Amino acid sequence: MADRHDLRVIPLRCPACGGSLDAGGEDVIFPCTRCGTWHELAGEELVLREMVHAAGPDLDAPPAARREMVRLPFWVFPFRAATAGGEVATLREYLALAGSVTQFPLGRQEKLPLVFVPAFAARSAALLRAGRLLTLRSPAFGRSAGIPARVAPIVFREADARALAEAVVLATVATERRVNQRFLDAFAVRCGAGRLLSIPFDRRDERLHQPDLDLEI
Amino acid sequence: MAEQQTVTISCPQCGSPFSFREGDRNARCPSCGTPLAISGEAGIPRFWIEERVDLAQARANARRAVAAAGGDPRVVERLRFEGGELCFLPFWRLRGHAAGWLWSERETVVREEEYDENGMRRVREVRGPNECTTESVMVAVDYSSPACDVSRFGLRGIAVAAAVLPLQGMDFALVSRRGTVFDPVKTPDEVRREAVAQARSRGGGKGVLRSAGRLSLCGERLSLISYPVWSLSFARGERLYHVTIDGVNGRVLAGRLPGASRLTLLRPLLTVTLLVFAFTVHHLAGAAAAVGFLGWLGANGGLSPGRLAAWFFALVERQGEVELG
Repeated sequence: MADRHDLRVIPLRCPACGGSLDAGGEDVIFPCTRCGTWHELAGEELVLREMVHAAGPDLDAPPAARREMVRLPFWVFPFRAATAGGEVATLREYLALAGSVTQFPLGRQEKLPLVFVPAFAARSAALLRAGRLLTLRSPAFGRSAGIPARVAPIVFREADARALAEAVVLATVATERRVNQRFLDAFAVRCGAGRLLSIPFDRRDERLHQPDLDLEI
Repeated sequence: MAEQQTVTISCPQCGSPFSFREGDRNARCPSCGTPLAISGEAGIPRFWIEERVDLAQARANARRAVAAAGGDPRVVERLRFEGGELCFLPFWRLRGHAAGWLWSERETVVREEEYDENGMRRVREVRGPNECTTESVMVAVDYSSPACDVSRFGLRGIAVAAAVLPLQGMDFALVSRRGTVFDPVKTPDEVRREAVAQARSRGGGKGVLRSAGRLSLCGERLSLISYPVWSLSFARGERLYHVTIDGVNGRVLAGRLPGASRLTLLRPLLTVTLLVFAFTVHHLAGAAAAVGFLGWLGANGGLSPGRLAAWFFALVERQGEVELG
């Protein structure tokens, strides 16, 4: 028996295997605990979303050495940034904009830079910090063949992450540029197609630590 | 509004009723365990709040409010009740985050130390160079706004009382039978712009000379809530008076009702008596009294045929009206 109301109540069943999707109150992309796929509600249809899992000791270490880790989901976008001084379209140009001295292999330097936008729920400051640190590091993760038992709930859609991407990229830009109003007026970030990536973190004293990047958020 | 407003619906799989928090995108049926996504037309769920005050209570509250505001209870009793209508007024509620950047230029103060010829130290504050800062921000947004012009109802926002009341999924057929459902005039895009503008206005602070920013919404959850308000009409003679009453807590929101009236028989009688007496004393005294009276009347409200007629023939004078809400 259905209620008489105009609300749309859609049962969340995996279109691939029929299993129940795991959906918290604010989640927007739902994992199927049975077949490991991810689905997003588009209108009233559930559509498949690909999630790439970064290699980590929780999935790829030998069974005896595996350890439990927290998997956090991120949206990863290749981006171009428009600035008063011209377009930033390569990792090399982006690092110069950010004032970073990190060195990357020559082939990679000429590729589009990537912005990492958290897709999980956390305090606003923590989200911006996590996105800023990962974007500045521009890490290249290996792809894991395994499927993690659990990834932190995804509460930001791709469109939400695009809106957040400009704030994340701007947070990485050198301060002397950022405070210039003319720079800000011209500054705009255009993102390419986004991918979902889960990154493993260790819990360490109430903080999360990424061992490969030695990065704490 | 509080975060914990709940909505009760039935599971489409097993029919069991269950509650979820307004603003949640998903819920799980506690009986059959089915995970459910909750949405509305164009992705915007609509809810309504059931009225807790009936028409008789609303009428009584309006009359009581006039007495409390200093109106004449006898006048209120004699008011003719013309009718009442329950109106469901729409309010947008938007929650999410506004993300982007905020730039500001603020003045700074520098403390300068000076020593006079006696070696006494003096500290004075002088204006330093302006300081520019840019912050990448992500601020929580919880914005509520009327979805149409509700100013004539005297309702600016949804009452605090509504925060603890359960919401119900909008059922147009049911709610339309109870009252008039007002449609939203303000579009979702307008609400988004207002919410972003409100988030932007939170910046600034002491010493800010200029500020700029670019924010956009992310993780938005937009809903429309219909709130009950009674619109009552009273009549006195030819004149209609409207009063609006909050349908949840019975508070008078806005309205205007007549104040007390008084008989003014003495005024025309006294005027005529005095004029007749003056004419009987001497015709010049009568003429002087008539000129004096007309001069005084002209100086106090104007001299016109209507004013003269009202002075001599309007035997009941109405006091000012009582404003409510």
